[in-house]
Amino acid sequence: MARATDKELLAAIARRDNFAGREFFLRHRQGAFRVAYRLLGNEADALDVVEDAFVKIMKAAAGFRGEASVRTWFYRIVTNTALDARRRRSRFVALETADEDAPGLKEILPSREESPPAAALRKETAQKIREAVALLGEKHRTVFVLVVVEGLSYRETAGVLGISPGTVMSRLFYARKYLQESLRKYVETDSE
Amino acid sequence: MWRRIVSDCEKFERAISAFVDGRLDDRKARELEAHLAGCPACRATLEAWRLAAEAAREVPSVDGKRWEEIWQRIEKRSAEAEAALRPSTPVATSLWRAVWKGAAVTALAASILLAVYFLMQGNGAAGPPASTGDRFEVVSIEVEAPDYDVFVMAPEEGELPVIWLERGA
Ligand SMILES: [Zn+2]
Repeated sequence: MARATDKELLAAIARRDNFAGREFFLRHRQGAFRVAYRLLGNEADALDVVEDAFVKIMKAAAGFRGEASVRTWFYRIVTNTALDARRRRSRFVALETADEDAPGLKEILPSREESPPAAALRKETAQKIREAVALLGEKHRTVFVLVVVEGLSYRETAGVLGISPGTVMSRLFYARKYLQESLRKYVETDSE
Repeated sequence: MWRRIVSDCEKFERAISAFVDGRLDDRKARELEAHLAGCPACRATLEAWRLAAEAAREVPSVDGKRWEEIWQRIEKRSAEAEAALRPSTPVATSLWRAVWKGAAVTALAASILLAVYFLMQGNGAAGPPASTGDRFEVVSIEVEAPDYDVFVMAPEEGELPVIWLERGA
């Protein structure tokens, strides 16, 4: 049986088909969570954002215009919901580096027979990277998350944020430069 | 010579950024690879950015039970939001009254022809009826309203039936 496309699911949601809503949620909840988690920095807030975003999606499905990309439309709702939540909680931003519940680098980069110190260093590096991402400014972080974490194209990201693809590339580049700078003492650069 | 190397690396940094995203075309990718072969600094940059991408993609896993609870709340909130958009009972009641006065309906919208007959026995404010049939009997409903959807909500025990019109999409 052919799998319904996202567009077909949205049309079905607009007709109040709850099965379609559930299917859309199953397909996209993880993407929504990754974006929200990377933008907000903690699990509870990220899950609240996922919930709010999907309530909006169920409501807005009828207004989805066929010529737009579902991906762009979806990530725009998720991103805006997350950024709104973040602004509301802006007084916590300074503390927002806590990421203890994220898995360490050992799970990220399964490495062969690593000595304990090397494994610890890798884990520490991954942790520092996530902290550095959390400290990126909103504009740079949002672009970094959509492109690097979610794999959206520059054009899709531009569509989500209402900016030009050139601006996307430029923000992404500076986000990377910033991360690299803040990691200089953790990631060896043998050029120095 | 030193100047030239620095400016080359700066030029390649943007290519490295696109390369990490898998969005560098083949020709430029070959150029970059040739540069990387002889440039430890750019290799380190590539490695750092790859590492950053992998670390950033990792998020805690959420268990199925938690997801299910979230879905339940989404469903509930969506249903509530939808119910809030529907005409409430007082609106429906006034429409029902309009329906009762056939002429008023015609005045309301010329395209609607409604003939609804309810035999209403007893007072709506009285206690619960012995059975719905004791109070209401739908003799016939004829509707010709191309632009409108007609909704009839089955009454809860002891409540009035609700009929309302919504302009169709
Ligand atoms: Zn170089």
